[in-house]
Amino acid sequence: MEYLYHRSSHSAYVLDEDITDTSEGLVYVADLKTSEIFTFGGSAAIIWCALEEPKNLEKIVEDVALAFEERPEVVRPGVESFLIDLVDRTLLEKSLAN
Amino acid sequence: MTEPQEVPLKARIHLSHAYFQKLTERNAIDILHIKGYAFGSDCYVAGRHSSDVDVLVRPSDVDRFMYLLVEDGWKIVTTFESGSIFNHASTVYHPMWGLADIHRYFPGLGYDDQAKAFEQLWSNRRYKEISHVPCAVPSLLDSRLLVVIHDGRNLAAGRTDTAYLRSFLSEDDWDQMRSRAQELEAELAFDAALSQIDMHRGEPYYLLWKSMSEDVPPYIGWLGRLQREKSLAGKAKVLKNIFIVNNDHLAMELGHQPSRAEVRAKFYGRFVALFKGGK
Repeated sequence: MEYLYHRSSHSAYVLDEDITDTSEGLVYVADLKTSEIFTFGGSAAIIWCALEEPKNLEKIVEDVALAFEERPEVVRPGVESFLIDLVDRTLLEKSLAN
Repeated sequence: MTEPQEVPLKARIHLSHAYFQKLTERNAIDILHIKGYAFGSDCYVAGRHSSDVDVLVRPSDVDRFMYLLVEDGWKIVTTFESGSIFNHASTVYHPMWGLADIHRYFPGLGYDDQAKAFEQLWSNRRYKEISHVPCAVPSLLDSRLLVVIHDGRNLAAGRTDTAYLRSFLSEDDWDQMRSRAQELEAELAFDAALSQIDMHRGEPYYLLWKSMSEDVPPYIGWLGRLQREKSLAGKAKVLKNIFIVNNDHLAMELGHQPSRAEVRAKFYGRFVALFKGGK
């Protein structure tokens, strides 16, 4: 079974490049139900930004590998772990691909 | 989770707009995001900073909205009654989201029928993405009109937002705004911002707006506030508010709960100002 990951409807985010003149590649992600804000940098920020549209694990791994000029198998464990964490926090949702 | 103080204020305010939009959607409450980053560069000079969020709530939804905010961890800093002479807004605070001004009406707009005024704005609303969440804001015309009306509460030197709009809006744009001000019963405040308030001499709220938009003795403002109240009870309340120090306001001015000495100083200071004849 293949799953697609997408941002939950109760999340919102701001890129630091949208609010400052100097960007550190950070993303501020809010859980609007729990009033928590998380700061994502590095691969976390890339994963979040990659989810402009729903994507499966392989596509997300591919995006991160490309960004860091690494082989997909190197980045895959970290990506998978992060996605599980975000789903647990309900910042992301997982649904079956059609 | 990131601690609030580690999240830049601008990011928190943008995200706070999204918070209010989602909270109200979940609970079938109508709000319009106003001023600050909601109006943005459509209305304000680039680089203008905001330190809080402003929302205008449908009058019939206000009580339920305030209840939900308190349930969700917000603290009421100033009540509607203590927040301003118009009793129009309550300031609330959340440890993560910061400060917000909750407006139950917009001073200068639709004096006697706030429900109608809100509906007029609501029916022309647009949606603007803030923090990647579509948020309900007034139409572009209404947004600019609200900016001007708000400036009607400032002395001429402080009307920088209106001056900015004057710098690029055409005569046609201003004619459209005036027509819309007529529809929204906002001409008095509109003309106050344009230094034309004396055209409205004799109207019910003339003195009140004159006292805010021009440098006049404080008693003019007191008279204006008294004139605005139709009932004896309302007038008595105004008299009380004129002479009794507003502790919430003083606390915000001082940045701490005022001492008895500070309250006394504020109380007597009013009479000094009265006798000196200045603001």
